[in-house]
Amino acid sequence: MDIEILIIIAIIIALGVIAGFGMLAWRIFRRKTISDGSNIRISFSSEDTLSQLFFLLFVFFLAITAMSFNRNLGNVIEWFLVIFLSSFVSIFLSYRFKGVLLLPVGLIGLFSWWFLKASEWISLESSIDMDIKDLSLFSLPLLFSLFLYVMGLIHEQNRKFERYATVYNVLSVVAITVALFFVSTELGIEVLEEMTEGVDIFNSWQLSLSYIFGGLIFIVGAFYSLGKNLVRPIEGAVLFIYGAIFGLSVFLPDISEGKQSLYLAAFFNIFLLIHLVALLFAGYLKKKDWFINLGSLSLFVFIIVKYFDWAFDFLDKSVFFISAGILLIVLGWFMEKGRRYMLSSSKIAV
Amino acid sequence: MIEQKIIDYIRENLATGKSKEDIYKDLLAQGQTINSIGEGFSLLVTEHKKEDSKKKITTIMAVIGAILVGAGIFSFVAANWQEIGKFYKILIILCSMLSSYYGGWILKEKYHRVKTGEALILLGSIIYGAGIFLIGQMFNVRANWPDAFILWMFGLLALSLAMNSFAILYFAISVGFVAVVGHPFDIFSNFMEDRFLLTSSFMLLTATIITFIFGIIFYKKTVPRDIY
Repeated sequence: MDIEILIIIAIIIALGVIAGFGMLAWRIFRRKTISDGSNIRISFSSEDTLSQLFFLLFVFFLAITAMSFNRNLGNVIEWFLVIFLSSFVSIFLSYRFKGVLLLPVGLIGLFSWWFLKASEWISLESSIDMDIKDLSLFSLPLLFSLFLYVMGLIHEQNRKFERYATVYNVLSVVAITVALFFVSTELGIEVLEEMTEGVDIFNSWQLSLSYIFGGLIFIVGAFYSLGKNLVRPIEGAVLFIYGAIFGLSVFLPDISEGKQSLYLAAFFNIFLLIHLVALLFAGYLKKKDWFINLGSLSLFVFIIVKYFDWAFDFLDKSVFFISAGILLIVLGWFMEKGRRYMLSSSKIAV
Repeated sequence: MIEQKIIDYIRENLATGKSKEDIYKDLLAQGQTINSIGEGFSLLVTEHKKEDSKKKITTIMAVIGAILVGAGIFSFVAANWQEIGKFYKILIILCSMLSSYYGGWILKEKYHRVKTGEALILLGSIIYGAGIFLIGQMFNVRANWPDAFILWMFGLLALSLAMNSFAILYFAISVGFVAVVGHPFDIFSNFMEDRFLLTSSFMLLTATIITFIFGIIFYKKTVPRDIY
């Protein structure tokens, strides 16, 4: 690739990162009061923001330095391992220096490491054998996400860790919502069906271990939260239902022929709709603004996406666009009204 | 109609650092009504907001001005670059950078034109970055291109310490992120063929150490740390 293109790509990505941090910083400076726990608060002052950004740069530089020396020495270690170790450093620094920005980086790094390794683990050495179902690459991260949600609940106990709790909750909820969005589309269902092709995950000890470990930590965490009254029984029940669906989905039989597409589409669309409504109600009950905002945004996107998905082919194009416009305006008005109502009611309740 | 003396009284007392509650108490004791005092405060807030927006406009204009001047100079120099000798090229870079810094410093420190001064300093720091690339190109320096961004970041960090400027610090961080995004491309391109430059590795190591030190410095400056 040309050097100019590389420079442009790097600058664009960096600008994206900077814009993201700019938006975060704008949120920080816009709020003058200390959060009541219902909002995401990244930093308390400019010095705090700078300290977190420098630590973030440090973690990235550390990983790249390790990779470059590794290359100088003739690739003595796998670069996956560098990601794994840097992620741990990031999580450690996040707790040690109260840099909440470092936590998602560390967690995403760990997820990426697992995903890269799992992509190797699903390929069996013997060429005669079929590979392991790719589905484990999809279901297990969702199971881990549920554990992150439980971690968020545990962190909420202590006011000192409220900001960390929000990071765990946001990451897990966003990961699950995005995954459900994907599998509820035509493309997602096709991919999911193809993923069911292969032998089950117990043919790889690493994947089996990941499955047992992921399941165990989720169950222990969920029971702990229930025991300590950190979650309402209904929330606990929902968590276990999600856990059961994600955990058992690994054992889906081979449906790569595509005969069950319609049932899968119905199941995932209904599941996603219930998930989004549950998000809104969870936000209302837990008095968390970001839950309500994410829920209403996702619900809005859901309705628009589904309209395009289902109505584009059989409606006349002019009718399609006119009704889409009307749907957008009416839906936007009602959703904004509903969102404001929920936010104001949750604030009154506080 | 609100009396001018109420507004003057509020303005004077706020300037001395007196609390809002105390001012209310004093004016009530003088026989003023709550409504007129409240109105006085809101008039002052509106005035303050107007001043703030004027300051913002001045800042934006100064920054845009600095960027435009920089872009103009760059385009002029770029158009005639091939015809200029190496010595003069370096002289142009150094002179424009130093004059920007000096002008910015004079405006900021001597004439208290903080925003315009900082805009000029920002211009100087952009010229410094451009200078690194141009000198690298002139002398065909063998290096990976993100190294230039790391060098640029080092310079900006030193400048931010000297000028005690948050804007330069954020700029340094942005430049650092470009290096962070750019280096993996170099590391992973031709992965098995040629080795990665050792100078780049040591430059990265230095950047790692420096960013950690800056992280610690600002962590220690963060007040209050107990509210986390």
